Amino acid sequence: MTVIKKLRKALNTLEGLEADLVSELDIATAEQDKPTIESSLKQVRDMYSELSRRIGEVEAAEPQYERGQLR
Amino acid sequence: MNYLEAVFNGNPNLGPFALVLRGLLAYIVLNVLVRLMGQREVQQLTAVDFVVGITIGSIFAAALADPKTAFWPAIIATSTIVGVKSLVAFLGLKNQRFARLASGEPITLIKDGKVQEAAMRKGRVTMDSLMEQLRKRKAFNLADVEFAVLEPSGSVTVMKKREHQPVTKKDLHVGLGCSWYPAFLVKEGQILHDNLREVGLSEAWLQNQLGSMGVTDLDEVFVAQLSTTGSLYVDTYEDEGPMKKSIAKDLVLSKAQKLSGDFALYAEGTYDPEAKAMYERMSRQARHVYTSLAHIWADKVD
Repeated sequence: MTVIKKLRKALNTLEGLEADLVSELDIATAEQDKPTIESSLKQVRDMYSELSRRIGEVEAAEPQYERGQLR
Repeated sequence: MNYLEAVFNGNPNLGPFALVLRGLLAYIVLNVLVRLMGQREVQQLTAVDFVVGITIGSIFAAALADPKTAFWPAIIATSTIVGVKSLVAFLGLKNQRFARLASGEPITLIKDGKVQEAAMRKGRVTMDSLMEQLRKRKAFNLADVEFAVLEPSGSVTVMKKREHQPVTKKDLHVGLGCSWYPAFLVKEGQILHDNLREVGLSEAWLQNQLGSMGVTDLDEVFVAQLSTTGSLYVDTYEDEGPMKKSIAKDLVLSKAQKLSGDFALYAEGTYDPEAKAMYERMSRQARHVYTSLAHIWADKVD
């Protein structure tokens, strides 16, 4: 699997996780659990934007990755 | 016995009960014949399917409405038509050329944005009817169309030029998240064990999810469905209040755990120190998400 494919797969998983946590917040969650879920959601969103940015960088340098000069 | 013979052979003195009996028999025979012909939507019917359908209907209509007419020839005639049609379909599956001969083949009316006049003549399609079909598929300008194909069913399939195609999630590099088979897990208080096995979940998991939504008795549940995102939607017999919904917490945890492992692997696999640091940080973050959620859901997962 190419680097970009692997990263996109991780991005998909992050998106799924984000949707799950948003749903969990919508549902009647115990009040004391909400801060933990909100903080997890923030971390997931941070990871998502960081990984999206990384994918952009990798895509820009794609020819070098294809030649095996970068990993 | 004589009465049944009269029902099948026809008799001018047949009463209404005999016609009811014929109607019942015709319904059963038609059901069997339609099933033998295979399941298709009405829009997918080819011209041959359409003619066969009308012929069968006409034969039965004549036999049903007139007590003097014998009923059995209608059954034999329609069974023969369906038999031949099934045979043709079977042979078509074995031989592509035969299938094209029997059902017709698609005709490309517009290719690479250019109208194919010879193909239009072959398909007996006028420019007006082609434009009508294109408009039905929201292609108002010929210039927007890359391909248009006249299908054997008579409908026209249209592929617009790339610049006129709607934007997809893939174009935007937007992920789709995990996808689950949307299976019903409970119907009218009964657990559907086959579906539960198919999605790889246990009865204990289901009971746990229901318990977390305050559903203690399966008899309270009208339906419970696992959505494509892995959430469980539960509709109880109690119609007051919102529909209950729960996310599959163990699946959420496994996603976080997997991400942590994947990022650690990416960190090991890169030579770029900046990327390495980023993947290591993300692996720790995903691990932290896992442990935090596992802590608050400790009593809610298997």
